[in-house]
Amino acid sequence: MGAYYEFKLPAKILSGSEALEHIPHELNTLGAFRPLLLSDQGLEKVGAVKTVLNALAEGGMTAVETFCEIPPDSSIQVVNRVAALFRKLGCDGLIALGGGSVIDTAKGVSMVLAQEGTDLMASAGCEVLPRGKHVPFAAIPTTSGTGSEATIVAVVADPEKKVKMEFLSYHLLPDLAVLDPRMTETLPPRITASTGFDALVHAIESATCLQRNPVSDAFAEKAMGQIVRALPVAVREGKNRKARMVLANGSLLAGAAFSNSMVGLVHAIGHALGGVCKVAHGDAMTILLPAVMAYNLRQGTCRERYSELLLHLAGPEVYAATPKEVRAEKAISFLEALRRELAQVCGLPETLSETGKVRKEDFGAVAKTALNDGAIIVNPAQADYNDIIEILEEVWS
Amino acid sequence: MSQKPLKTGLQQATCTLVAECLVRALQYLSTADSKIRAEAHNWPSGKTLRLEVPGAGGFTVTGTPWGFKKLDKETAGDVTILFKSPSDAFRVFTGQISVGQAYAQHKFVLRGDMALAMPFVRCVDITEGYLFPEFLAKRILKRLPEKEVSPARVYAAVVLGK
Repeated sequence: MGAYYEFKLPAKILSGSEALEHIPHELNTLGAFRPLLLSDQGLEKVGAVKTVLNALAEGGMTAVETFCEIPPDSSIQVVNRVAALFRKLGCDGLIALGGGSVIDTAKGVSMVLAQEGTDLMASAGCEVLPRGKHVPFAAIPTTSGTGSEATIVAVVADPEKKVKMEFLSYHLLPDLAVLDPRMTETLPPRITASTGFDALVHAIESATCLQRNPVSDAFAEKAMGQIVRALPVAVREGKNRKARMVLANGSLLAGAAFSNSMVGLVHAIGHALGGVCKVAHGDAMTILLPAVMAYNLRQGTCRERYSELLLHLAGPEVYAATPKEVRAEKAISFLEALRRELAQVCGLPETLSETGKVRKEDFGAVAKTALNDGAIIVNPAQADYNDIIEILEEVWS
Repeated sequence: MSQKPLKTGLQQATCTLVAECLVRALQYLSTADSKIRAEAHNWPSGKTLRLEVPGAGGFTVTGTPWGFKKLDKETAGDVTILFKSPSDAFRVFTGQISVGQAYAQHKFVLRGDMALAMPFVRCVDITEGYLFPEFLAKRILKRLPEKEVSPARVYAAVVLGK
């Protein structure tokens, strides 16, 4: 653990039944009366946008406009376009309804507006921006994965460079993180599994990376326990609201944890697989996690920490029954077993070749891109080009 | 009127001196060490990186096919690493913590595209492997870089400025 740490989680959490109906009151108290609602076409089609609009109407609030053209991998251009629309319509607040792409787009928009600029690229960097103009912002996640509603990170694609740009600022955090069971219960099993594994990786990497701290550890450890117990249930029984809410809270806790301690090599390679080969982020996380944990162990790091995590992952009985010297390996095999279980239920990919999006010829470009990802700095073990190629080979088939 | 404490002044002076040594070592190693040479060669054309220490100024470098080049003192950076205080920079420049540890402990902010800063961070790690005694380098680096030239030659390049 480092000699110094910082932690911030200013978002007010609205979690549980009818949380959506509280948004108008909360936004009003923040000074927003004319919000712009951001979402995507899929959510519009399944009726989630309508549910939110109805909930706003109950509180006497109307969205000035509903913008549902945010693609799965949002880009800097989309962010700039939405910021211009916000200004043109005279909006005074943002509501983001969606997964990571929609919420990260809204964060980018809020950053452009706060800095009174027109281009998100002018705000690139890490912890460098002043607060600027405050734009009240509510985030409603529809997946339990990115934890974006509680993070200082926005990942937005730069299609020209074929990379996913990371923007880090404490001023990116939404004012409201709204977890309502109605928003995740229609999520298909396959996406529930993939995004849930993403949340699990957030918890595990934040609990083991160089920037971990006592507060992020507490969030991460609680998160991983909640996720591993609720995820299989939510995948099998999508309408199980209890499991959905436990998973949503686990995802938020994991988001808050990694927002304040960062992630590691799984994310560095995963971002590169997304940028270069368009592998879905959750799938990349699922495929890479056990292999990267094994790599960290081989490099002589994390043994003690992975051993401790077995308690939170598998519970006290398994922890107590496992000899101390093999607890780290047991934690990895527990995660492999969980992945196998989910793969059998919903077809979650376990190898890169199963995604159908990666060619072995892409490995070099993926490794080079991963080396330039900020997440690699705080991974406990050093990884160079050859190490990353080795990991990619290991998870190929 | 408040006066700058002596400690801060000494830290700033040390940072100025060590920063100059670091750049000279980097310039030399970008011709003598294959890994740093490759990073300089692959550096995005014309892009600049600036490192700043409050009260102690800073330096700007760019990578070229012939190695790292130090630019005019006031040249702006496409990406800038700005330490939050002289004592933060002092800890890095005196080998108490690595650049990675400084990042993890919020010792600096970064303006611009982080991907451009990453090759520089890797080069600094390798350079520190040459400049610092092994016991110190082992403490701050995750993996000791393989040395391709004698550290004595690096020190000579630093002292002679070539």
